[in-house]
Amino acid sequence: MKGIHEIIVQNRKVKFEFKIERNISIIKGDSATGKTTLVNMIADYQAQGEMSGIQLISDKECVAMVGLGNRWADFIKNTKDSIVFIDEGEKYVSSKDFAKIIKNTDNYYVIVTRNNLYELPYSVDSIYEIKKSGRYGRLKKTYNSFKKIYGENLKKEHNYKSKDIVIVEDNKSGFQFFKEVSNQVGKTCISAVGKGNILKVSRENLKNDMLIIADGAAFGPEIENIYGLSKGSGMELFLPDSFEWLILNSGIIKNKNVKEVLANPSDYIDSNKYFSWEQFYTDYLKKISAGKKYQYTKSKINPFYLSDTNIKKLLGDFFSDYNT
Amino acid sequence: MYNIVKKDQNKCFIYKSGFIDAATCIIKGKEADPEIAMVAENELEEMFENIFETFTKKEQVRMYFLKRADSDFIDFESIYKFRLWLISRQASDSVAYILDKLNLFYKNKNKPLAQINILLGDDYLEEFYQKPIFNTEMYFYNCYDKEWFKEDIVKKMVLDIDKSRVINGETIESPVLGTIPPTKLSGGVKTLMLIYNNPDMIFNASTCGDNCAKWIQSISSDKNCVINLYHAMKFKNKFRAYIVNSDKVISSMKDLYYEVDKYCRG
Repeated sequence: MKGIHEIIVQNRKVKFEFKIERNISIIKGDSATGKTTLVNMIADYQAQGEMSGIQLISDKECVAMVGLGNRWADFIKNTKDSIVFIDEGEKYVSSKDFAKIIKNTDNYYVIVTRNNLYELPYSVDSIYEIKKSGRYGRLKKTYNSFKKIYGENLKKEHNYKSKDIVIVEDNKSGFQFFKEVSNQVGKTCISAVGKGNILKVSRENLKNDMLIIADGAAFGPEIENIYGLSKGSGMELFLPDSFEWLILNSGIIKNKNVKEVLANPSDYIDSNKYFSWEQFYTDYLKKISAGKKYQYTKSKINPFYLSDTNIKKLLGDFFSDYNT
Repeated sequence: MYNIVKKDQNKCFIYKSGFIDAATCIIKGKEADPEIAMVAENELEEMFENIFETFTKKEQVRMYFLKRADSDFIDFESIYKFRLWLISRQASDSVAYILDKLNLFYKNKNKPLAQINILLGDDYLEEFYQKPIFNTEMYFYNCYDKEWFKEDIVKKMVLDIDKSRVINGETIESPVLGTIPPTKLSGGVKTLMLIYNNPDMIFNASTCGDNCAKWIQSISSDKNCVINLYHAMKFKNKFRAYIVNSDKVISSMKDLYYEVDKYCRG
């Protein structure tokens, strides 16, 4: 499935209206905001259609996985081109099996849970809470951001060079890039060697002003704890979808379609093929840079990207001290 | 008389059959035979004193089930491990009595025990007879008691979280949904009620939003209970929580983030 899908579901008492744009969306937040009501309304409509008294408007079929017990995997295997809603209380959503089974399906999944689903690569931007106003409910992103910097008190300007230490999720080309940038300004740059280690590495460096850099497209399971830790500290989170997204966004790549792809990524990223948007950006960048002077490989950074001009192009949109 | 504690070369041994008998005597026998009850109280106090000294030295306390050489036993590494054992058996009046007295003893020693007990992730707790209840919605549907709604704290929780008024044990007045049965309450309130009314069981409190955190704190200050979390619930103000998995007491959200990161990855 591709694209942004709008869903309106209502009965005489409540109405929910929202858009879903990625293959995995998480709904969490306070109790009594209507999360279970939403899933139950989808389930009622699934069972009885309009005879249920529910009105549902969506360009895709909406289904709810309720009370399936051990038959959940069969249900998914038989569900195509649909938006699947799952309420909390379904323990299988945390399992490796669930991740494996939904990986190459042609569906979008909306999962109600406060648990961090470490097996799933969901985005920091696809974690929502229901905001209610009277009988109306809408989805609001849980984590605020400004220019891909996430935090509670967002500033208008952010400086890269003012940080004592930079911690990068990966240890490949993205890390090599930021290590070089940090070396140039005399700052320390450490690889956490995996997003699952970021909290641990951050803890060891908590006294410093830190910049955490990770792939936002799959950082959803980690954000709650690291976001919480960043409160009241000198830590900032820079979470572009991925390093490849950063390159595509820089304007360095001369390809007429890049702008359009980045403006409407969900129109190009098929959930059947890409479990996470970062995988799409990697494939796309590799494809359009092949054989060019700016050819991209994930394992080793092409020195082309490390020129002063190109560093500014990559970071200028986000950090004032590179926006010259 | 009850021989409920023995010290031997810095090792502390306690006898379950003895301390249960002593507590039963105190509960049932105070009016019938105050002198025996006083002996029992003194022996329990002596047991607490020995336990306190032993755990302060970071040594283990061995609990024998019976006063026999071949009796089964459990070694407790900390006062919290011993308290967990008591919490899981507090349906017995005698155990509940000992639990209250133990809390009071530590409070009087200026070492109050952390009131919130948290089991993180899928760890299984041997002290408890059964696994934590993950799907609290389903459990509530099948097991709630309309009598629960007579409690003031339940009425207050329903009003605070769901903005709804309890009419009686079968009827709730919701500003959005109108008149509803208890099964239509929010998942958070249902879980709070389960924790409050079944303190000897463990429920998945990650079905509660952060707006329930203050109620978890309130319930925990009143009842001895253990909650199961899969995320870092945002506790308000100062709090002290015992993390079962690491056998540690924490007092900040930062510490909770680390513990969740460590134990909730499955």
